[in-house]
Amino acid sequence: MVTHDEVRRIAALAKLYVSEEQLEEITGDLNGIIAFADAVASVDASGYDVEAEDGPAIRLRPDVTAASYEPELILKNAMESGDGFFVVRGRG
Amino acid sequence: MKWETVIGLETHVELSTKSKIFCGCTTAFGGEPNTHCCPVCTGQPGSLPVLNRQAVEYAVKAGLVLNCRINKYSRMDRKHYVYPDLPKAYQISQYDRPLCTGGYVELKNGRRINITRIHIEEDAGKLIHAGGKVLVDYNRGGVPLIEIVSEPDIRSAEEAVEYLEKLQLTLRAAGVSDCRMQEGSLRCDVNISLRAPGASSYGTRCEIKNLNSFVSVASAIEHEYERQRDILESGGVVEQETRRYDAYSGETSAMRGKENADDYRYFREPDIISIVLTDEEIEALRASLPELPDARKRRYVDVLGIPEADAAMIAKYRRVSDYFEAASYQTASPRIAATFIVTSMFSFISTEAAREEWLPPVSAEQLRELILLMEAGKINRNVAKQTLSRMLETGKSAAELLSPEELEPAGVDVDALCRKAIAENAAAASDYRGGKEKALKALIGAVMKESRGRAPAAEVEASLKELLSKT
Repeated sequence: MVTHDEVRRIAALAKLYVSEEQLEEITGDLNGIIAFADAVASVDASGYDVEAEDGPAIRLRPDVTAASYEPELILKNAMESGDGFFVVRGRG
Repeated sequence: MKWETVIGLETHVELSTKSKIFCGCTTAFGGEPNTHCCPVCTGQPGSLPVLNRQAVEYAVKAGLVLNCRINKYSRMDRKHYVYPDLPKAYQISQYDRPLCTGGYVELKNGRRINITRIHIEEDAGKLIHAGGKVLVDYNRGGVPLIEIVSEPDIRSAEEAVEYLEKLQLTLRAAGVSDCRMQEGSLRCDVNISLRAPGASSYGTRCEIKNLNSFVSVASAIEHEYERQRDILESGGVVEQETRRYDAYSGETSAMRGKENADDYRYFREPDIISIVLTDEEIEALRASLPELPDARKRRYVDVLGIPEADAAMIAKYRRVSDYFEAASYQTASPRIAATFIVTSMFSFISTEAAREEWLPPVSAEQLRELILLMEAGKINRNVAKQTLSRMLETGKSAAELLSPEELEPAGVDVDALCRKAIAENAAAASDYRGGKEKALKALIGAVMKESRGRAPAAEVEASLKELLSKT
């Protein structure tokens, strides 16, 4: 179970503002997610060797360069930009 | 009281891939801001990372040359922190299953600095702080890095610098990184604490972030030693904190304390499945490794008879040692090529960076030709040395620079030249006979001058002594 304080701390780490009204709802949601993860974790996986994963092998990319995007496109969704840079607020 | 310094280093090394770790953007240094970028390396929603094979292979090679165990199974994780240099607000790194574990670097004094782990991750963007605003350039974001974490085995600033130099040398030789500190392709964080000599537990440590030159590593350690010593000796307690180093003042200052300690909320990167390497792949990478500087140096000393100091200077630079091997190929004495390189050529090519690049105006084949002329007795050592200087200045070959008479040893009649020198320098001759051994130098000089440096010095000396003893 996560507490309101833990949710506040996680929100602070993620630089998110959570109002008191939202706190209750988010705490509930997070506990739901954790309960789901606990349910998954409760499955008996003994005898299953994670290192011998029988799934698909990783597909690695050859070291070949491709054209980058025009900086105008890269900066298109920036809140603020200038001289080709993203511009963000400095720390107060 | 003299406190014992306990140091561990976290070293970040940019890998020499052409493209970034998860996308095809170039890793070239510099460039106009945000021109080496795409949706993947700027963290645009919906973009997916695809791991670069070369980055994995370079990291494995780094692990092999640093004596690590290569983990056949490893995986990527997300390390979360919110800062403008990370567009996704997390860095794709490795947490509990790194690519390499164990390993060590051996120092000159025989001490081993153990390596805990090496993992791969993506570099962050570059921030420029300007007038209350922060300008962000993501060209460097997504460049592949390895982080090499050492055990707290280092005991002094000197050892820290030697460890870093050894890392730099070894990784360059392995061809996995250019390790240029001035371009930030090698930088490190220093963890440092003090303890009373003989104590078995560690003191409280501070971490000094982002040091990007050997000088600043040494100076930050020295400053931090003094700061912590002063605290401990005045009965205080060192706070666990992260500090920054100011290259101008040479001092460190607090960035954040323990209460704000890193909380990265690692979890597995769901967009990249586990990295599974086979024994065959690891062995193929091991087989592809070049001979390392230590091994080269040893071979130069033991097999080729090169003096230790010269061997170390040559083996230090991969290109210089390749050049040396080509220039000394099938020559009677590889020592000659070694001496010419570390004397004449190193004084002509004098900076570290230029030696690293090693683009001398004299090709290895040209140097070899010169040495073969000397070994065939066509020119003596002095002429060879002077010719090499002219070759370095003009870029011409020995054959182009040497006149036919210079190439004709028969033209030098040592006996006649010595008789002439004695006749013309009667005072020096009589001084020598009177017991002044040094006077012989003047006579040898006269012969060399007359022969324009072509007379073999040892033969001249013997001949003069013989003539002077007779009369």
